[in-house]
Amino acid sequence: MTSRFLYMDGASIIHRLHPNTKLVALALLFAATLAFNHPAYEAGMVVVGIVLMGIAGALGNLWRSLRFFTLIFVVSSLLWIFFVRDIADPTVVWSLNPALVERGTTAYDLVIVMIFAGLLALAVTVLSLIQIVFRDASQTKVGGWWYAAFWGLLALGAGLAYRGPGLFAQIWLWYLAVFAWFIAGTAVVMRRMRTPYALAVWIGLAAAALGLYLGIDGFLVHVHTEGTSFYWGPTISISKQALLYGPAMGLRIVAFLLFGLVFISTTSPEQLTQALRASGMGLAPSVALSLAFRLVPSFAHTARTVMQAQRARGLDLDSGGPFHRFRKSLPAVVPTLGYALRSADDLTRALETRGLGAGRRRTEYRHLEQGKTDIAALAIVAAFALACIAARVTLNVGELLPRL
Amino acid sequence: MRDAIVMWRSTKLAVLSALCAAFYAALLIPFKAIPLIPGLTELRPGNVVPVVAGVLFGPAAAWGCAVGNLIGDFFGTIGPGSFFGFIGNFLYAYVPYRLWRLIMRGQPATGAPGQAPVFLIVAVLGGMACAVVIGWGVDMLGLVPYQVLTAVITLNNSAASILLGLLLLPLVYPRARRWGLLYEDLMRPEDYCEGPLAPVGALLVVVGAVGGAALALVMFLGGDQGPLAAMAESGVTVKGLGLLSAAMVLVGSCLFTRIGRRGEEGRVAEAEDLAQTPQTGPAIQVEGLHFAYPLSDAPALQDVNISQERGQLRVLMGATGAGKSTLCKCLNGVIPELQTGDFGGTVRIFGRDIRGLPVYALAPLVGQVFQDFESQLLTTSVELEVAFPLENMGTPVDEMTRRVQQALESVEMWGLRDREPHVLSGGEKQRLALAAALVNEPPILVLDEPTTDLDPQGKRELLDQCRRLRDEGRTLVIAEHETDLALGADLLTVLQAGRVAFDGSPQELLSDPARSEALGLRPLDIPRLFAELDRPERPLTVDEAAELLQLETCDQERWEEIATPWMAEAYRANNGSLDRPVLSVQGLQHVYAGGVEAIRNVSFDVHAGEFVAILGENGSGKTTLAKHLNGLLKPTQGRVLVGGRDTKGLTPAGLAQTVGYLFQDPDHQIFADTVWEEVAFGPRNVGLEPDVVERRVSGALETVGLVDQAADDPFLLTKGERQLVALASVLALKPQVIVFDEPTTGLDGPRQRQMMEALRALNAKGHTIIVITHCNWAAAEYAHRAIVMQGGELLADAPVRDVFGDSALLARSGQSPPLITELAMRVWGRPMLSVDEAVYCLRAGDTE
Repeated sequence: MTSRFLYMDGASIIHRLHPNTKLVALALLFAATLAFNHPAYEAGMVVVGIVLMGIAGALGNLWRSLRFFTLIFVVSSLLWIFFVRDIADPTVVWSLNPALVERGTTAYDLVIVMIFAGLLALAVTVLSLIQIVFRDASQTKVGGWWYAAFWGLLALGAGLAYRGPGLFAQIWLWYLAVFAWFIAGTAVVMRRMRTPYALAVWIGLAAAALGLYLGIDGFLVHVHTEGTSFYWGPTISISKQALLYGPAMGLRIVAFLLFGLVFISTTSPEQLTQALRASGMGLAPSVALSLAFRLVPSFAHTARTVMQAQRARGLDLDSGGPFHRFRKSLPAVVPTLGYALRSADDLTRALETRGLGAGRRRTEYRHLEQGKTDIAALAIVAAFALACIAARVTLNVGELLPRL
Repeated sequence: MRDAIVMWRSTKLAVLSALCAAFYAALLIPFKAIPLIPGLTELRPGNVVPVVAGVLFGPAAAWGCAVGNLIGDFFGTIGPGSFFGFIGNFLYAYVPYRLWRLIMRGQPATGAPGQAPVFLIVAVLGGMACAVVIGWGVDMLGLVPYQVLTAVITLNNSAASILLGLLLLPLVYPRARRWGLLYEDLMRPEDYCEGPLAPVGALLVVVGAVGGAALALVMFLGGDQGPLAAMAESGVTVKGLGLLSAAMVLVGSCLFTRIGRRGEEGRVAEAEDLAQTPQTGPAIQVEGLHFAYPLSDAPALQDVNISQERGQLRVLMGATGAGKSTLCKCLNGVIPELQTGDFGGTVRIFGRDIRGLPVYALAPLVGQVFQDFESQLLTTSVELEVAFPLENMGTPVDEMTRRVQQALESVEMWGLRDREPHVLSGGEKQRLALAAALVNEPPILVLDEPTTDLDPQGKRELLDQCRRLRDEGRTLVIAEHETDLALGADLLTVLQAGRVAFDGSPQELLSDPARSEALGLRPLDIPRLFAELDRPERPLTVDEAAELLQLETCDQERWEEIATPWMAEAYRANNGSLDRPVLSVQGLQHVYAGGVEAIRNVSFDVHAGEFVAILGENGSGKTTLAKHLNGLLKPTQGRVLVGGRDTKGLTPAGLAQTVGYLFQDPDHQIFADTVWEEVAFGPRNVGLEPDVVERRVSGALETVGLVDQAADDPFLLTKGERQLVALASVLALKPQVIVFDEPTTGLDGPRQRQMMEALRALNAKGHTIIVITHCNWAAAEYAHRAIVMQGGELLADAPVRDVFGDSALLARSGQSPPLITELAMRVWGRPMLSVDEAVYCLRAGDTE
């Protein structure tokens, strides 16, 4: 990611609107998007967003963010499919129920063997976890994708398999197993951030989240020890509504980000600061905001130079487990922070020297007027938003579930 | 919460919050470590910043981190979730600050081990407050389920604060303390002391925080039995309880301080009065000025008396620490208004004593341009920067437009008016600062070392600009190091240890080389030549000198005596060695990410023991080229071999023991709390044994002469000492090749000489030295070989003598030779590299 702001200069209608208009319009569009939770309607919102991006001439920004948007859509959808609750009468599409295992059958023996194997796998995973997290650069690289998958699956199996006394311990083991998979996958991700391996880990993360949820609510865990037999296995039920709700939420988040992107692409930081100042933000906060925008690229540049200087002294930022990586960031953070703090005096002096604090009435160099275009644009957006909200509230249009 | 609002009265706290915001945003973006929820939360070191900043800077950090997160979102993820991110990050800094104050009762957050438990508690609670708010808000919007996001954010924040917080705090506290940036230093006690409702507030905060923590724990341990089931039955949700805890913490925090009066009268009337009064009498009159900084032993200025009429240009010179900056700050009221210390004496501007006047009142009379151009550009566009002072003065809009255009045109930047400041070059930034100082049309202009980071061309242009301003009738005071630039001035004042050691015309001092040197200036070559030739004249320019030297002859034998071995030496070092070159650049091309071609088809070899100077204008690719030599940059095409190995497969860390790189600004690498630790950083990184590290560090400290300062805090040393620390830390790795990026910038004459001598000593020991420099006299006297870059291409690669003797080449590359060389070429057609050489050749008759 660059530290370049995403503002794309242009002369579209949207660019010419007053920043306050844009802010209010943004809020209205957010409200409209919140009105629905059906995927088709949320998709409609995404289309509106894309159209606005087109009008603003900012499709370049959209293209750049495409991968990120897709990723967020996938993750969000998957999470919600498994996490959504309060579905009144779900139309179950697929479900899995615990199976009854009777003593004396081969299945029973098999399961007992798996329990112990699973516990062993768990122990090994935990030990290698410790090694991974606290790994220093000098130690050898841990396995790879297959390694992560293998141990992860074993750990998962162990969690699934264990049936022992106490709900407490059961949940804990489940969490540990899931976390183990997550961390083991991280060992892969750390070296290869932007490749298909990363995708594999992300899918693993979704599964981990699933496990977390199921574990919390105890869907998975039913301790039925009835002497000679027990139930074994997870209880998962996916309803049609959930399958639709997930993508609806995914699309909703993309719509939000799109509208936000339209705003960022058409409003430069200085316009934003001026608009906020005109709306009554105090002088000192608005100067501070403007100063912050001005300094971000500067500090990012400094941070890069600092990292180069430390790398030239032998700091290897690309190796080691999370623990060591965190500690290694210190030689990069401290000089940048020192640099920032050192300029506090100079900046204060510069502000005062340039006349800040005179206490007299201030004039604005760039006076942004709100004109007829603004009123018209605002009216259109407001009408649209109100229509959406009214449709949802009165006619239940676009409603999948009776919730936000 | 009153303290969060009242803090805006203090300009410095406002600046501090802007710094926190910018720092947080700049660090959030590049430093992502591990994705937890891809695209939404990453495990990253940056999350330690709000906690540490919060306990040190209080509400300034809270606002700062909130805004910083928002700015971070501006890079592509603005949405309604940003609103919750804002509040969450505000709490993430504010809650630790408030809790710290509650528990530690006024003890500052030093990061000492004894404070660790409290720090961890406040950090984790703050992290959870942040997590609850963001998690709830984002869940309500339907973006990510609450259970996932809250847990993940808590994990994220706790990991960062536990792993890094206690390491970072002891490194930041002493420096913040020393620079007077702590919240206690900047706010008045009544702004943060506790009001009558404080105990209630405390109770709410504790219950909320502890309750929230307990809740999170229960949730994490999960299951549908026990307390959660009971709650579910009664209709209470986990989310609701989380929100309640957060609300309790918030409300409790609000109850801590009294709601008090507000208001401070402005001193508007006086400011207007000053601009209106007729300006009679001498422009500047300083009488008996005395000033000592708070924590220092020696006064910065003692008994200074200066007078300056309108329309005069004065150059202020002196060694670093002599008091030039201090004097400049006194001239527009920054001292004593913004800087505490022991102040005495009078400063009059147009006959009016400025003591007691606020700084902004003097802005229309005295404009200032500071040394660090980065820290004086305040807005996000060139045009706004210049309009800012006018806005503050309440100038009407049409007049503002006119004056802004005028000011920008006078520095030739009207065409760049829409640019953002950070894309400007160093010279452009400095011109912008000048325009901003000029827009008020002040009759007096003070410039504090304005040419430090400019290349020679930029320096000349700025000085020409200043002379033009003087011709328009303005009064100027310029603090400078470069002796050549003092020639165009009307008055020259030299400070030594805070006293005026010389005050008169530049010609008077500069034509006396012995005296110049005694006062800490680098004597000009030409008068020095005449002094050493025992001639009575003291010309100051090449033209005058050329006239007078017509009859002097250069002895051919003597010349051969110097030139031939020199050339042989230079060629031997370059080609003679049959060994493999220690550095080999082959067909190097480098294209930056945006498509900009920085270097095109450069090839050369460097053998062990050479002393190479890389010359060229700013932007010609010198630094880009140098960064390829230690693997910081990799070629887009072509290759770079270090000791026969291709850098493509190596990291800078791997090359650190072969090629050392000394960056221009030592503050870009200093971080440890003692000099010893700082220098030990390098050897430890490459995995040397502790006793080896010990030896290396002692050796390096001895070489640079900092053995006595081994236990000092490097941040608090002088700039020159910090540069030596940086040098020592590079030397501790014992690299064969050392690359220096502008080692003499910002140093005064004697120290520049010292630095170059240190480089020569290293070269004598066998190191290969590569210097990027603008300082042509240094290149001439110390380097064997010069590589001249221009527009990304290698323009010349030849012995220094040949390069400086080739006027066509120099003209093409925008370089100018040292004055002595120029003179020698003009009169005798021989490129002499130093005054000593010239004297040797010209006084052949006076043999011993």
